[in-house]
Amino acid sequence: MAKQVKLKAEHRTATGRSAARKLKALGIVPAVIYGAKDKPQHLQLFVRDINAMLSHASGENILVELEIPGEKSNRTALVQEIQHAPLGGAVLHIDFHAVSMDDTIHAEVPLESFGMANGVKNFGGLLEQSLRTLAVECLPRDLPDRITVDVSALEIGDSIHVRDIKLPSGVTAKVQLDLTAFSVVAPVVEEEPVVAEAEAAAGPEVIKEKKVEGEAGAAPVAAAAPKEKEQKK
Amino acid sequence: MPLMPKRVKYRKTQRGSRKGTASRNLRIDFGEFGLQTLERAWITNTQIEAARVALTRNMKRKGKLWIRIFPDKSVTGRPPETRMGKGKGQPEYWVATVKPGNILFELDGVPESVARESLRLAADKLPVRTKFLSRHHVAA
Repeated sequence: MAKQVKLKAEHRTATGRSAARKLKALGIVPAVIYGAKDKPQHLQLFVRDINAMLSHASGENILVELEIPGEKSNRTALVQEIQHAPLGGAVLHIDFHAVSMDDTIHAEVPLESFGMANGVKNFGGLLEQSLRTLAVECLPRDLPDRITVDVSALEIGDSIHVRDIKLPSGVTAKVQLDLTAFSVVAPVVEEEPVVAEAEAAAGPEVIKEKKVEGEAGAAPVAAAAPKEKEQKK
Repeated sequence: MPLMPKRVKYRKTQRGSRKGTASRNLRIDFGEFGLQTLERAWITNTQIEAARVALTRNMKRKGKLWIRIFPDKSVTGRPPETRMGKGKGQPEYWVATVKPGNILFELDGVPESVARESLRLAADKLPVRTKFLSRHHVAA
């Protein structure tokens, strides 16, 4: 089940790129909370609180209890999305999805394999994971951090579909049940592509829009680089 | 054989811009581990091929490899000892333009220690500083 973490947040009035940059310089991350029946609200949180939350969490499905000044009670929300900087991975923005503990929610839960497949261990096969996350429906308190699937019985050619995955009680999959999640495939020996060197040296074919009738018989490989003209020094 | 397009609309391209950071091909989408560039560069098809060979040799042909970049840009050159003018030179090699943040290679089906070592060997063949990424530790 997803952990519930307490976080302190404040209302945010400044929006936009410039304001977000100023907040970032102060160690503050902009956030938004939406969902349930309330209007969306702009929030801001300290980056150290978020990093502490992420370092203790085993996944990104985190239930948080947001303590917002001026609100009568804490708001329960699911971390819907965390935007990371492409370089360095710093947290740029967080989306919180306000949830009611009595209503079902939809979430993407990470799918992980457990054990080593027999086909991999004894026959050198390759375990392929086709589904990395599983869309599920459940009550917030039943939301799992991750779903682990035992793949140790898989031989080469075997696969595990969504319908074969044992889900925790109260959790139902919201994808087609015949989707393949894991499969063990035979080892593939990579063959070196055999291409004539002359063909490779000729370069790619150039796509021509119109062909002149007189030149219709001409080879389409116009890419063959014309020979260098001898240049006068 | 080094990578290059099979068909192109024009044989010669302009140099284009490499400024800014990557806005696509930023995340590990296929495998478990990846190699991310921290610098901008033109990576040639022979460099990509050298990295691929280093990777597959170290992985002992196990696991699965995805090459996330493709050299679709031709670079022309002039023959030595020729005067200026007389038009643009002939295509000599092909490059992939990469910007900081782009994922270059992805791996799956091998343990993390093998993936780290393989990607380190591959990174040695490339003209950019790189970073090892794992799907589970994307936020470094």
